[in-house]
Amino acid sequence: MAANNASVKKFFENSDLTPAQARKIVAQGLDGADYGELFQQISKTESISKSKRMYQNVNLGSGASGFGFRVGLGEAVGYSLSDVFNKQALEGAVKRARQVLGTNGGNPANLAQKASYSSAPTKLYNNDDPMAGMTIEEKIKAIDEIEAFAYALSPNVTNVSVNYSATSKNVHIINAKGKSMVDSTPSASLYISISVKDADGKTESGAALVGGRAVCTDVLNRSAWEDKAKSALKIAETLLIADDAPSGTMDIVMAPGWGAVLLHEAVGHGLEGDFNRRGISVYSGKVGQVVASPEVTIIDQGDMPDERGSIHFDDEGAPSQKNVLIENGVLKGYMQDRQNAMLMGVAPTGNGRRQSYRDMPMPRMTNTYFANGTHDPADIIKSVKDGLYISDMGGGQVDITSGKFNMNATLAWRIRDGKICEPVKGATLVGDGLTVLKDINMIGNDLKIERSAGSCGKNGQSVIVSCGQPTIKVSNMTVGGSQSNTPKP
Amino acid sequence: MSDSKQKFLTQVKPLAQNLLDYAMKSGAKYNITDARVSISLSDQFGLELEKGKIAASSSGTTCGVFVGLYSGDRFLSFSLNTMDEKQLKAAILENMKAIKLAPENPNKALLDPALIYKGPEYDLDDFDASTVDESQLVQYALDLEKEALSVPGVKATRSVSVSKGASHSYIKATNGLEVYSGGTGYQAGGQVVAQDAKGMEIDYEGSVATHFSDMACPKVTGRMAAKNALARLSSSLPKTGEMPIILSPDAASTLINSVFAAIDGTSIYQEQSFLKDKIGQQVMSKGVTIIDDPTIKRGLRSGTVDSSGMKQEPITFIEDGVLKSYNVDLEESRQLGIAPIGRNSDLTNIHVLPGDKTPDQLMADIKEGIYVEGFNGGTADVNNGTHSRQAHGHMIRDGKVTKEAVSGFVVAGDLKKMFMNVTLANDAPQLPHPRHRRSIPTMRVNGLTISGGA
Repeated sequence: MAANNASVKKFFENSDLTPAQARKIVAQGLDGADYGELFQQISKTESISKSKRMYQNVNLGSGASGFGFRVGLGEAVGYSLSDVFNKQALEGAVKRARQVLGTNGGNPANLAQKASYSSAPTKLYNNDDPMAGMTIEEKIKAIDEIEAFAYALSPNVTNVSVNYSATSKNVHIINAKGKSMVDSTPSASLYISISVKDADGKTESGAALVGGRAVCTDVLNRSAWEDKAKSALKIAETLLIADDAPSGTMDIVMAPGWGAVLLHEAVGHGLEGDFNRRGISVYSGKVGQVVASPEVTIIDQGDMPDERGSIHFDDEGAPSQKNVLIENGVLKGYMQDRQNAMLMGVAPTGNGRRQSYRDMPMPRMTNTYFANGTHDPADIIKSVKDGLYISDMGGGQVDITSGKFNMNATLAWRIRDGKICEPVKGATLVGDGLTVLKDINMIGNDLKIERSAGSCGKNGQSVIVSCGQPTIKVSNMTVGGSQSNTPKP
Repeated sequence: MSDSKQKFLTQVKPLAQNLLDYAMKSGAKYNITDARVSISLSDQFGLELEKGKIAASSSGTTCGVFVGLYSGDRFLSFSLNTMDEKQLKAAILENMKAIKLAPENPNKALLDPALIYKGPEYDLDDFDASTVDESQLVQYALDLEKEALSVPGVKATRSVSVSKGASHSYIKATNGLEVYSGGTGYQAGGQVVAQDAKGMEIDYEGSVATHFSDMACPKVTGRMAAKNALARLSSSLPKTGEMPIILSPDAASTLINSVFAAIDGTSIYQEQSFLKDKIGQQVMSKGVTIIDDPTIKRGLRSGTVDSSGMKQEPITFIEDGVLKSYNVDLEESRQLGIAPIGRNSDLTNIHVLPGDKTPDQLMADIKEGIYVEGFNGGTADVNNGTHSRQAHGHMIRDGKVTKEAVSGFVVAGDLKKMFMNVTLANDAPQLPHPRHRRSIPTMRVNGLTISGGA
C-alpha cells in the first residue's frame, strides 16, 4: 500500500491516546452489548467556484474531524460524539452512550462471539489524496480554461458557472473484537452550468457533472470536461425550444444510466432493512414473493471497482458486497446494517452507512442498478406509439410507506410512432414502486452505471451513491406537465 | 443571560482575538489587510422512542471555526471544527501564504464600519432558563407515542423523537464587527403509520420552540400525527383537469418558498429569475403582503444583528402584491449594486399577512376542487416559471372539504400566473407558534391543472 493516504497514525496525531489504549476503552465500552463501535473521521475538502466571470469562492482546505461511539443492545442504541478525540472525551462518550443499556435492561449478550468481519477488503479504488497532483495555480488556470471554452461554444451563452471540489474522507473504526480498520475514500467533482438567452430574451440553463471516486487531475482534465461542457450547452439550448410537457398517463422510456435514480427512489429505499424490520415499507414481508415483472433483476453492489458508491467496508466495518435484491421479479432480501440484520435474523449486507461521525449508521444504498435485459434499445423506442423518452432525469423523492414517488425529468422527448420527436420540459413522473416494477415491460442490453452524479438523503443524512440501468420502458406512467391543454386520455 | 452563554464567551472571545491578532501581525508580510473569525458551538441531546422504550439516545457538542482572510480584494476562507489555537494558527498561516494566488473579488469585503450596529438589542428571550432534564424529554416522547398508538387504525410509529439543544455563535472582525447570537431549542415529533385494507400511509406531526414550556402538548401532537396518517388512507387519483385548489398553511408555505427563490439575490444576479427587474411592479395578487420580522420574542429565528454587523429590521418584501425588495446578503447586494438589507444571516421569521375571509368562505363557491395538505417534491423553476409538484390532500365538493383522500397527482401551472391568482384566508397563526415556523394563512389558487388519472 505505497503512497497510501489511509493510515492509523494520523488519527492519533492530536490525541493523548495510543491505538492500544483506544481499543481497550472501546472493548470495555462494548461489554455486554450486541453491536457497536468507535467511528473516527478526518475529512478535508477544498472548493473553488467561478460564476459571472468572477471567482465567488476559494476554499483551499476545510476540515471536519471527530468521533462517535455507539453501543447497541437489541433495539436500543446509545450514541455520543465529540469533535475532540482524547482519553477524556472517549471515556465520557462511552459513559453517556452506555446509559441507554441501563434504561432498557435485558440480558447482556456476548458481542465478541457475534462480531465476525472478514479482514483485508478487496482494493476497489486507490487511497490517493484527491487534492494532490495539481497546484492551486494549475487548478485556477484549469477553471479559467473551462469557462473560456464554454463561453466560446455559442454567442448565446450569458453565464458560465464552474464549481470544483475535492474531498478526502478518512475513517478509522475499532470494533468490539479490538479490530481496527482504516480507509481513505477520495472524491472529486466538477460542475459546469451554462445559461443561454434566445432572441426573445428567454433564458434557460443546462448543467453537467464530472467526478466520482476521482482525484483533481481526473476532473480538471480537458478530456474529461470538454464533452460535458458541450452537453450542458446542448441541454440549455434544447430547453429553449422545448414545449411544456403534456399531462396524463403514457408510456415512458428512460435512457441508460442516471435514469435509475427512479429505481433508487421508487424501489431502493423501500428495500432498506430499517423500514422492513418495522414492517412499514410496501415491500415488508414480501421476501420470496413476485414483486416485479420477470425481466427485472435489481442489485445493490458496494464492491464494484472505481464506482462512485463503492466502499471497502461500511461505516460499521462490515465489508461491502453484491446484494441481489430482486431476481427475475422475485424479492430476495433487503439491505441491512448490523442492528436491523440482527433483529431480523439475517446477515449484515455491508450497507450500514452514515454521513459523518456526527450520525448513527443506518441501512443505505451504494451502487444500485437494474441488470441488463435482452432488448435492443432501438427496438424499445420503436415499440412506443405515443410516449416520452426521458434523456435527463433530475432528482426525486419517495414515501416508503405508501410507495409513492415523484421524479423530475429535466429534459424529455416526445415519442411518436416509434420515433423520438420534439423536446419537452418540466415533466414530473409520479407513481408507486410496486406498480412501476410490474409495468416495466422491456429492458435493454445497454447497462450503464452513472459515475459522476448521485447523493442520497435519508433522515437528514447525506451519503454518496450511484445508480445505473439499461434503457427501460414503463407503461402507463402518470406524467404531470404544465401544458395547459390536456390531451384526452 | 444564560450561564452557557457566559461560559462560551469566556472561552471564545480571547481565542477570536488571538487569531485576529495573529493574522494581522504575522500577516503583514503577506499583505493581509483584514480578517474575520466566526466561532460556533452547539450542544445537542436527542432521544428516539420505539414501543415505549428508548431506542436511541444521542448526545454531543460540536464546534466550527470559520476564518476569512483579506489581502486587498483577494479573499480566502476556511473552516475547521476545532478550537485548538495551534491548529487554527497553522491553517491561517497556510492560507496567508496562498492568498496572493486567490483571484480578486471586491464583493467579498467586510461591511463598511459606518454601517455596523452598536445599539441596544431587541428583547428576544431566546434562552430557556428552565432546566429540562432527560426524564422530562422521555416522558414527552412516551406521551406522544402512547397517544398516537391509541388511535384505532394506527399500525406503528416510524419514529418518535425529542431533542433539546443550545447553540452559540460569536463573530469578530477587524472592521469593528463583534456580534453574538444564540439560543435554546426544543424539537419533538412523531411519524405515524396507519393501515387499512388498501394499504399503509405515513404522516408526521411535530412541535418546535425556543422554550420547553412553549412546546405543543405531546398528546395533541401524537393525536394529530395519527389523524394525519389516517386521513391519507384509501386515497385515489383525482381526475385530470383544471380546478381551483386551496392550500393548507403547510402547502402554502411551499409556494412561499418559490417567492423567496424568485427574489433571491443569486438568482437575480445570475439572471435566473422571472422577477428580475420587477421591483415596484405588481408580481402577486393584490392583498398579498409578505414580511420578514426578526423582532419576534421567542421567535425561532429572531435576532438583532446579522452576521455582517448590520441591524436586522422588519422588511416588507411584497406589499399588496408589489415587489419591494430582493432578498440579498451583503455580497449579493454588491453584485447587484444595491444597498444591503441586513439579512446576511438569511431570513428570520416569515409572515404572510392574513386576508379577511375564513377558510370556509374561501372555498364556499368551489363545486369541485382539491384541498392540498402538502406538496412532495417536484419542480418549481423560478427561471421559466414551471410549477409541477406532486401533492396530497382531499377533494372539495360543493364548498366543503370531504373525507375523500387524493394523492399521487401533480399540480401543474406557471408560477408567474399562480402568484397573480392568490387569495388569502384570515387564519395565519401568531408567532411564536408550537407547530408553525412561519405565519402563513390558508391560500386559494385558481387556474391550475391537476394531472391525475382518467
